[in-house]
This record gives sequence, structure tokens and C-alpha cells, in this order.
Amino acid sequence: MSFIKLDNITKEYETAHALRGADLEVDRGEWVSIVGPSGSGKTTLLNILGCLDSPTSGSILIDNTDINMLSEDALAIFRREIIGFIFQQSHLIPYLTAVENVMLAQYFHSLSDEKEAIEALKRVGLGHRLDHRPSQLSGGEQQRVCIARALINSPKLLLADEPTGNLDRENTKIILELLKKLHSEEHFTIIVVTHDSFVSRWAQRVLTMEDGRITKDEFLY
Amino acid sequence: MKINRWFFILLKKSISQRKGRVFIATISVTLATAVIVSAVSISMGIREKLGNELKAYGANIVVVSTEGYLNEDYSEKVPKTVKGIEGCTGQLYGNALAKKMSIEIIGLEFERIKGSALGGWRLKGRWPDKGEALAGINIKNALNLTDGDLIMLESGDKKMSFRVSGFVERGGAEDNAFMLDIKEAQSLLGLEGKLSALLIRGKTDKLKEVVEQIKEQIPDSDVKTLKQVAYAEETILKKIQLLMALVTLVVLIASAVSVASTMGATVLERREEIGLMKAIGGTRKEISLFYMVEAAIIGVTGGVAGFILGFISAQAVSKGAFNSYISIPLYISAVSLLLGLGIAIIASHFPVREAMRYNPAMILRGE
Amino acid sequence: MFIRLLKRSFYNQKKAMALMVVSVTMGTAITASLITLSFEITGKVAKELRAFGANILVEPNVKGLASLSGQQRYLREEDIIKTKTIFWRHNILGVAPFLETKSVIEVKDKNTKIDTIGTWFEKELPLPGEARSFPAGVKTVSLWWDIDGEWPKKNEEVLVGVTAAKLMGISPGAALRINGKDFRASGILNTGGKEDRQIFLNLETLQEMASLKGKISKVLVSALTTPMDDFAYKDPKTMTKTEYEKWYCTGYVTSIAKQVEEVFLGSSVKPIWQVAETEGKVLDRLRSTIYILSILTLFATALGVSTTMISSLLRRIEEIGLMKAIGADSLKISTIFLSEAFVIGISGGLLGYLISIAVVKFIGLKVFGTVLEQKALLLPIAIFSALIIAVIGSLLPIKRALKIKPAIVLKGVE
Repeated sequence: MSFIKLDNITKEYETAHALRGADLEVDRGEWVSIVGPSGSGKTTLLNILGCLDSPTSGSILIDNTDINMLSEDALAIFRREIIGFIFQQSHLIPYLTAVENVMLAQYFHSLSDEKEAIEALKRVGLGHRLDHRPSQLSGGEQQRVCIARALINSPKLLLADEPTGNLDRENTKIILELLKKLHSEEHFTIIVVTHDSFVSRWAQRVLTMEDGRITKDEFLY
Repeated sequence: MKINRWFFILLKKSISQRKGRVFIATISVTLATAVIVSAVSISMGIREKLGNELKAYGANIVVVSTEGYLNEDYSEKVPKTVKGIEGCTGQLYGNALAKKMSIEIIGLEFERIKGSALGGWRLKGRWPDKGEALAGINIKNALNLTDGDLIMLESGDKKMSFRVSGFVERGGAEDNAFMLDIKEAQSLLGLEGKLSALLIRGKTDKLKEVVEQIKEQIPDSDVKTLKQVAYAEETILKKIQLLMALVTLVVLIASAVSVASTMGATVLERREEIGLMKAIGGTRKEISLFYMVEAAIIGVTGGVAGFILGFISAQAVSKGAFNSYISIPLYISAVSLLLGLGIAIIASHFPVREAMRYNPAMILRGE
Repeated sequence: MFIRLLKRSFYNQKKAMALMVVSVTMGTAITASLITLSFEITGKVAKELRAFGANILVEPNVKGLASLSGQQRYLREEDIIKTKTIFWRHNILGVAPFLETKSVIEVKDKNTKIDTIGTWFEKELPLPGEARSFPAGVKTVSLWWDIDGEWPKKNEEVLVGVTAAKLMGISPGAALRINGKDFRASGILNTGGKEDRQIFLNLETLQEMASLKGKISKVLVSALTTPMDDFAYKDPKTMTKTEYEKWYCTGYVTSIAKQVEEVFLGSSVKPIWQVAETEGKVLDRLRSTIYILSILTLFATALGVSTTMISSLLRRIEEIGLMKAIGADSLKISTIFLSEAFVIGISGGLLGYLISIAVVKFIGLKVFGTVLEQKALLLPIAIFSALIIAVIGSLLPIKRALKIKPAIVLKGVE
């Protein structure tokens, strides 16, 4: 049984078709990249996978759960139990420090535990910047806080939308190596949307999207 | 729902790190509450204040005896035993000869009239001391009197002379009379210890009860309501009270809407934050609880500050308009607290709910 | 491009803009309503205060001892209508003549001597040179008269004071003889005052009976007046010519009394101070209450509007940074944001004015039963002040935003 199973997903916005029937199966623990030109539906697909957006038609099964059947609050609970997010713009709460931003995710999940949050930040190499606010951190550091936050509740699925889009090559490498290390330790499934071939090459499998459909599916190793 | 230590840390941070915005929101709640509190206080106090002004119209109850004269003790006793009396004075009427003319004499308790509820006197000169009298304006003209003239009054075999200390113009019976101190009038007219009438000013809203009580207190009396004063005062006060109530209502609505828009604007600004919280797994209840508690803190702070400010401004208005302070009932403070709280929570509730209806994906992409 | 930018900006932030407009609208509406109320209130309440009855008394002018000798002097009935020809004629709201005589009343073969007063209960006076008529009579000056039974309608019907009625055993509808002539008591009058001991009948009937055709003893006038102020209390005799003119052409109770005296032959006209003075005080107090309240509200709403503007603009700091980055100078940025404030101010002011028309109408109808007209003059004032409020409200955040370095903003950090 695959971890994720999408069946003929479509998504229509008022003016455009973002997805025109996407089928996808992903196994537990896989690292998948989604590439494609802008407007091809990558981000829409990712948002639907992350239960941030609902499809116009088609079925989604994640971890044996039919997402379409969940109420909005059940979705929120599902998200915090199963899914972690990393965004292109590091969306952090501006008035909270790094450690507090991580704790917020703990708080919504169960109970906040400062030690555990500090531990998580140390693992992404930010042990020295715990009490800095987002405005005092560099772009790469902010993104690492996001990774710590995304992984704090041990999600089964990590979704990343252009996680290194705002970063230089050196920082990109740091982030990807970090993800690789964490992936090998914790065996969660990663789906990364990117248009950067340097980033997509880190995955085990690369999906190419064009015009709202998945047109190519290649396994790298 | 979890309200634990961390919830409060989050709250503390959200307030202490966003001082500017929180301050603006609090200020707007404060101002609205202040305006509402002062409008409410004034519209509640205006009846009493204007009632005080209307006292100048004079007595609204007249008590006469069916036996001829009243005992003068009543002018002391009645205000002490009857509730709702703002002023009370006895008068004695009679006639005396002055320069061979029969002229009306009015015995008055000057001490009680001077600064009291039974006003409307236009006095040129000063209030009389012992052995002095006031003359009505028509008497002045008729007898060609000037200030300080001595006038001899005769009644039966009594003769007493008085110095004129001033003249009265009132547009009533007083214009054609001499006004003496009641004791001196009693001895001149040979009616020691007697009153012709008791003039009473009862509280407008308790007039009926006052009349009933006086009837019980004074046997063989005829207690009458002066319809002119009572009717007119009731009409005016009712109108003005209604006017103020409506003005207050308008102020209330406008201030509430104005605060709602400020609070709404501060929440709109945080849509991204709300979207993010939703994305990392906050349920709607949890997220809105956070924003509602924050709004409640702003509301309570604004409500308290607004009450204090409203109290001060109501006093300023009262001092400016009526030259006296207004008494503000204590429950207004509770009401203003609830008002601040209610406005802040309702004003944030809708934009928060609205922000949560959106897809977090859209908000996070900045759409 | 500028207009397009403005249009887009409004379109894209419909909600934030709507909030600002609402805030400005409410501020303007309430302030405009209160200002109008404080203008209009004096006149309206002054009219209500006429419930206290006459504030001017017209009596025959008698010099010296004659006034006290018991010898009666009279005024001419024909002069009454002249009160509607004076400068302040439109302020004369009620007028009633009285003729005072003593008569012998006969009820069931018992005779009593009592004050009988001739008056107009209700009479339409034709106005000289006008098609309209003017309602006069006791009903127009003594609104508080409480009658058990009915007002007299025919010449042989009378009102009997409650004390007199008790004394003689008269009930509503009873027959009585006055000076040998048959009458019917249509109602019993209760005022609590001296009227309770008197009998009121038709003026003409009494004039005929007493052979005093066209004569009256006094007239009560109810006039709308301007509250007395320090200037009004000055003795007109000591005034300079300009002062006197100003006094004469202001509707003080004293100047209206003076004008009535001029048209009434042989009269002495005095304010009934008890009524006139209190009235002035009440009006003064009420006006200042509303006045101070409107200043207070203006102040509070102006601040409220600024807070909304500030919080709405603060979130656009990023946008300002971007504009700077693509080369806009401070002037251009300020122009854009101030133009927005301008549009918000004008639309909020206009809407606020429209709402205030409804508010003022509503309050006028509810409280005074008449429609208060919102002054058109207030429209430009409303819009102008809404504009000022909106612009001032934007200044602070714009100033703050201009200081922001574009680089910081674009990094996505606040």
C-alpha cells in the first residue's frame, strides 16, 4: 500500500485550470522532487498534498486517510500529526524568537517542550541563535528554523515549496545536506517543489509537470 | 483547547513585541468607551441637572389650610418628615395701610428663599435685615420710593416702620406688595405663629407621592399641585431625556463601528500569521481563542482606561455646562468594562473568522 | 499610470479601504449630527419651554397712586392683533386677553360674589394683510389647564375653578346664573393656582354684561426668546445707539416686551421673570452640553479614524519599500498615499453627511415631532474635516514608512 495515492486530481480556479488530472503514488520514506515551468501546477499540487487547499475533483489518500472526508478542524489535526511544511519565504511569526517559533508548532501539536525545541534547533545548527527574532536571522538561518519547526512533531510527510528559492548556493547546500541527514535518520517522506536542477538531483525520484499534468516520472537511483 | 503556560507566553510576546499596534487598538477602544461613558453619564445626569435649573420656576405644590391659617411649625417639620422635598417655605398674606393706601403684605422666610429652590427673584438692592422690607416694582413706582426710604405700615392698631432695602420685579403678585420677614409680618398682622400657605418644591418625578405624604402630615389642609410648573417641567425633562438618550445611542453606534474598523484593520494585517498558524496545525478554535483572549485584554484595558477618561470628560462637560459635578453610578464602570470587552471581541471576531475561511495556501502566497 | 495605480490599490485592498471609509464615515456622521443638533436645539427646546406658559405680561400703565386706588384702567382689545406686527412677530406663539370683574353668582338660590374673568378660550385672529389667521386664546398660553368636562364652545358656557365649584356645589354640566343671566358650566378647571377660585367666560359676553365693550385688563403673551445674556441685562436707557439697535433686534424677552409695549396703547409690558429667566438658563445649559459633547466626540472620532488609518497603512510598509526599490522618490510615494487618504476622506465625508441627515431627522421626529433640517452648509465642512482627519491620520504612518530602507523590507522582514 503506497503512502500517498492521488487519483485524477483536478483543480480549477476562477480563471484557470491549475491541475487537469494528476495521478501519483509515493511510497513511505521516498524523497521526491517536482519540477516544471512556472504555472505548471507544482505549487497547487503541493498545497493539495499538504491539505492547505482542496481539489475540485479526484481522491487523495495519505497514510490510509481519505482527505476529502475530513472536516476543516480534522484537517488541522491531520496536518499537525502527519505533515511538516517548509515555505519559500520563511514564514515565521515576527514577534517570536527562533525557539518560540518552534515551540508554537509543538503547542498546536501537543505540549510545548522548550528542551526539545532547543534540541531541534541544535540539530539544524542554530544552537547559538535560539533567542534571536526572525529579523535578526539571515535567510538561511530562517529557513533552518523552519526546518526545525517542520520536523519538531516527527511528521511522516515533509513538504517543501522552493525551500532554497531565496538562498545562495552555499546556503542551499547546507540546507539540503541537513535535510538529507535528517531524512536518513528519521525516514519521513519528502516532497520538494523546485525549478532548480541542483536541488531536484538530491531526490530519489523526479516528477516533471507540464500544463497541470505529470508528464515524466524518473527514478534517479 | 489548551490554555497553559505557553499560551500566555505566546500572548505576552504578541502584545509586548507589537506594542505599537496593541497601543493603537487599545487607544481606540479607550476613546470609544470614554465617549460612550461620558455620553451615558451625562444623559443620565441631565434630568437632575436641568431639574436644578428648573427650580427657579418655583414651587410646584401649595398647601393652604381649610381652617384659615396653618401652624408655622410645618415649614420646619414637613421637609424633615416627607421624602422628595427640595425646598419649602411658609408665606403669610395680609393687607396694611401705607400712606393711607391699602397694600398687600407678604411675609416671607428670606433666609430660605435667598439661595434656594424657590427662585426666580429679580432683586435690585439687597435682601432685608431686621426692620427692613422689599417693595414690589409697581409699589415703587406708585409711591415713588427709593432705596433706604422709611415706610410706615399700619394694620389694625399696630404701626411698624420699615426701611426699604430693595425692589422686586417678578411679573407676579409680588410686584404689587411689600415683602417683610415672616416674623415681623406676623406681629404686624397680629397673626403670631401663623402661615397663609406653605410653598413646596417636590421632586418632579415623585410629585404624587410627595402630595400624598403632605396630606397625611397636615390635617385640615388643601394640598394642590401647581399644574403650570409640574406639567411644563415634566414635558421638558422628558423631551430632553429622550433627546440625550438618542444622542447617546448614536454616539454608541458610531463609536462601536469606529473601533470595530480599527480592530478589524489590525487583524487584517495579521492574516498571514493566521494562515501560518493554520498551516502548522492550529485548529480554528485554538487560533481564534488566542486572538479573542488578546482582544479581551485590549478590551479590558481600553474599558478601564475609557471609564477613567469618560468619567473625567463627563465631569468636564458637567462643570462646563452646569457648573457642578455629576454623580456617576458605580455600575457604569462595570458596564464600560463590558462595553470595551464586547466591542473589542466582536470587532476581532469577524475578521479572524474571515481570515480563517481563506485557504492558508493563498494567504501564505500573499494573495 | 497614477490613476491606474490608485484604482488598483483600492481594488486590491477592498476590505482595508472599506474599513477606513467606514471609520471616516462614522466620525463625520456623528460630528455633523451633533453640530446640527447643537445649532437647532435651542430653537426647538425654546418652543417646548413655552409649555411653561406666558413669559410676557401686558398691563395698563398707571402712574402714581392711581394704580393702587382701586380705580380700574383698561387696555384696548383692538391692540392685541398688533403684537403680530412687531419686529419679532413670528416669535409670538400665543396671546390671550383677560378682563377681570367681580360678579354675583347664583346657584340654587344661593348668591356668592366671585372673580369672573372674560377671555378667549380659543380664537382665530385674522392677520392684517395676510390670508392666514393666528390661533390665540388661553389654550395657546396656558397649556397646563386641566379641565374636568369640556372647554366652553358657546357664549353661555363657562369654566368654573375647582375651589369655587366646591364652594358652590357646581359639577360639570350644572346650570348657574351670573349677574342674573343663565349660564352652564361646561367644565371644572384645576390649575392649583388662583384660577381655581375664579370663573372664566367668553370675553365678549362679559364685556357686554359689564358695559366694558372693547376693554381688557391684561394680556398674557407667550413668545419665543433668545436666552438672556450679560448684554441683555444692561439697562436700555444707558445703551449707545448701536448697542440699543443690537438689543432691539435680538429676540431677548426684554426687547420683545419693549416692542409689544410700543404697539399697545397705554400699556406697561414686563417679562414674567420667573418663567423668562429660567428658560434662558435651561437653554444655555442644554446648548453648552450638546456643544461640549460634540467637541468631545469630534476629538475622539478624529483619533479613532487616525488609528484605523495608521493600522491600515502600517501593513503596507513592504509596498512602500518596493516602490522605493524601483525608483520612486519620497514625494511620489507620499503623493500616492495622500491621494488615497484624499479619496477616503471625500467619500467618508460625503457618506457621513448623508447618514447625519438621517440621524438628525430621526432625532428631530422622535423628540420634537418635527423634521430637523440638516444644513447644506455643513456638507463642505463635513467633507473638508473628513479630509483633514484622513490626511492627518495618514501622515504619521507615511512618515514612518518613508524611513524604511527598501533592502530590509524586500528581504521579507519587518
